[in-house]
Amino acid sequence: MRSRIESIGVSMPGGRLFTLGSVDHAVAAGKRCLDDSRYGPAEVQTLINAGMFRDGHCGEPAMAAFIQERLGINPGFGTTTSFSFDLTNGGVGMLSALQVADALMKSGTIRVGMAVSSDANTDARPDPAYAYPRSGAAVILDRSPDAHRGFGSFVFRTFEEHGDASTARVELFRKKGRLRIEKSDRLDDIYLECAGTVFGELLEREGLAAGDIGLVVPSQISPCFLGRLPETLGVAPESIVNVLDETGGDTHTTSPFIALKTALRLGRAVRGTKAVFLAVGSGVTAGCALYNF
Amino acid sequence: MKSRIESLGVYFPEKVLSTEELMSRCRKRPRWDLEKLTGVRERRVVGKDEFALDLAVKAAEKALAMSKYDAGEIGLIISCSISRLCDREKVFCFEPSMASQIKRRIGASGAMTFDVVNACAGMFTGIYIMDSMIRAGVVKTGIVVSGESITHLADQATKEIRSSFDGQLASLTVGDSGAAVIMEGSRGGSVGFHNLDMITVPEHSGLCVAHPSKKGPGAVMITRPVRLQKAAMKIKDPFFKKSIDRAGWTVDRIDAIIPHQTSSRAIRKGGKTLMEYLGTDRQMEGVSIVDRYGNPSTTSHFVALHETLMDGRVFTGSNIIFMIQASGLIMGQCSYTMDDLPDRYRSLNGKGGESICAAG
Repeated sequence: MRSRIESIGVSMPGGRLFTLGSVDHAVAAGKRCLDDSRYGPAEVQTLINAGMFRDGHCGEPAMAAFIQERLGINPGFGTTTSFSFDLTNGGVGMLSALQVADALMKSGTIRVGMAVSSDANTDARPDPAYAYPRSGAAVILDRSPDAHRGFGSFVFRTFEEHGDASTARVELFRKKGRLRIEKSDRLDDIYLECAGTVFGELLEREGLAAGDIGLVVPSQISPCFLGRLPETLGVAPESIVNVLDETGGDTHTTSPFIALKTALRLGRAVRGTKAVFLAVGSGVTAGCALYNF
Repeated sequence: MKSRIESLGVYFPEKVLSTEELMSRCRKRPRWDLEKLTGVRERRVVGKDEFALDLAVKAAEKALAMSKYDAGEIGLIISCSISRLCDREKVFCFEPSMASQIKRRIGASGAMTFDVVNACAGMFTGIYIMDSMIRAGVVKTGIVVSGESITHLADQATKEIRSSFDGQLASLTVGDSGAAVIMEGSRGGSVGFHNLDMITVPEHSGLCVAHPSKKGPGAVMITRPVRLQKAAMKIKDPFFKKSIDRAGWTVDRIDAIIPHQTSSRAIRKGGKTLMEYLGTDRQMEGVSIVDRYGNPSTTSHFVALHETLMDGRVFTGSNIIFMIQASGLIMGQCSYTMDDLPDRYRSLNGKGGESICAAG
């Protein structure tokens, strides 16, 4: 059994949405995702929120509960119910959420799952080092009707020796808390090295060569990271999806999925395309997944 | 295939803080007798240089000490702490994940890592995920772990509580601890998790919310306990019945009910209404450890399980119901049959020398 992306919705940065909070962006993306889906809200059995930076640095309950309520996904206790939670893993969170949703389906726990993410820093005076434009992304997963299409293997690795390369902390010794971001000057190099390792492992596990991959949908770390990615992975430059011009910068947890939405809109993924979703983030954690369109 | 708990580690910081001492620190002392109201006599609190991450690491190390698995064999670490204090006071660490830091400290070189945030249901959310990851064949074994140095909420409450009906009263009941479970697959046996039913009823999501204080440094938890309890009570009983039905059990076959640890009164009342709902004469109360450990938040069920293992209430073959309740509003029921974990747990603890579960 393979799981597949049944629907995808995004809430882009900029314009009127610039002032929206993290829950607003997740809900906007989730609504678009549900609008394009064959499933209604009540059919979503599990909702996973992978957003890192939340409105007012709320610690409890899970932001997923607020998002579930506003999306109308079984908000009360009735004949159908849903379960929701936050899964956080830096910039890799959304891909981790899809791995979990895939496992929930393969184990027979659920038939339809949704992963959402969004990031917003709502501090009155944000740390200048925080540069992620506010955005949201949502994906509905179900069982693929075709045994050859959908998700293949997922590979994740945590390179904890680079644990200090990218940190995000909320300082509670300040009234209302304040988010502080610190990043190593070498972060692009570290991310490229880690991305190359997991990409190689994925190809080996799937018995593929780099040339078999027609589309790479990566975290939109920086122009430099995306520019050096073809050489690191050994793939054609035109296979890399780059949406930095559209988003105005790295949108963190949502970035590979905004890139996917754009790639689909531009018709860059056709039946038979082998794509790799590639995410990197703090930890340092790198993850990738094969997807057969 | 089912999943089961292969090993358990529970860690308590040494320092004990009585409710009387805590209440005497309140700038404006509520007129309630908190100990009488909640049954919380004392709780453990972290020392000056001890944080949630340290408690999680110590619990994971204890679980590994009893496990047949080495740290290098662990395929996935899921950290579930609400209190994300890693290395300094009043600083919550969001990135890198706490799980990646636990991986580094315990030497689990091959483990994937991520964190789960789901209020007091965090550890059972981690178990829900790990169960699927094991049954789907993604990993063979993994650790679900949580460290909670959550009494910073109690400290804050002593400074901010202004009335006897203040929304921060529940913050005075929390306690610090760490817990870790190592999970693995259980093929063809009758032991392990029979079902893991978890739901979120978000129309009640605003009844317990934690965030940085708007009045000054620190974090606060604002609860509407009466409305929260009322909402939970409505859902709990039918949900519980569904869970034991799915396990194919009758009430007589249950050896222990382990609920979330909020207050002894809520646990007593919960047990009574449940037995009435099920129409049985059997008098069965949930396990309560709030008198000595308060509400340990995410680790609640495993602190309580530790107690029942040590005092012999849970033994090999015992059928247990875990009742999960957390802000969100999250409700969960799990039916579980013990393998030989109770014997191994007691035997390792009773060897003398280093204790697997005692304080410090």
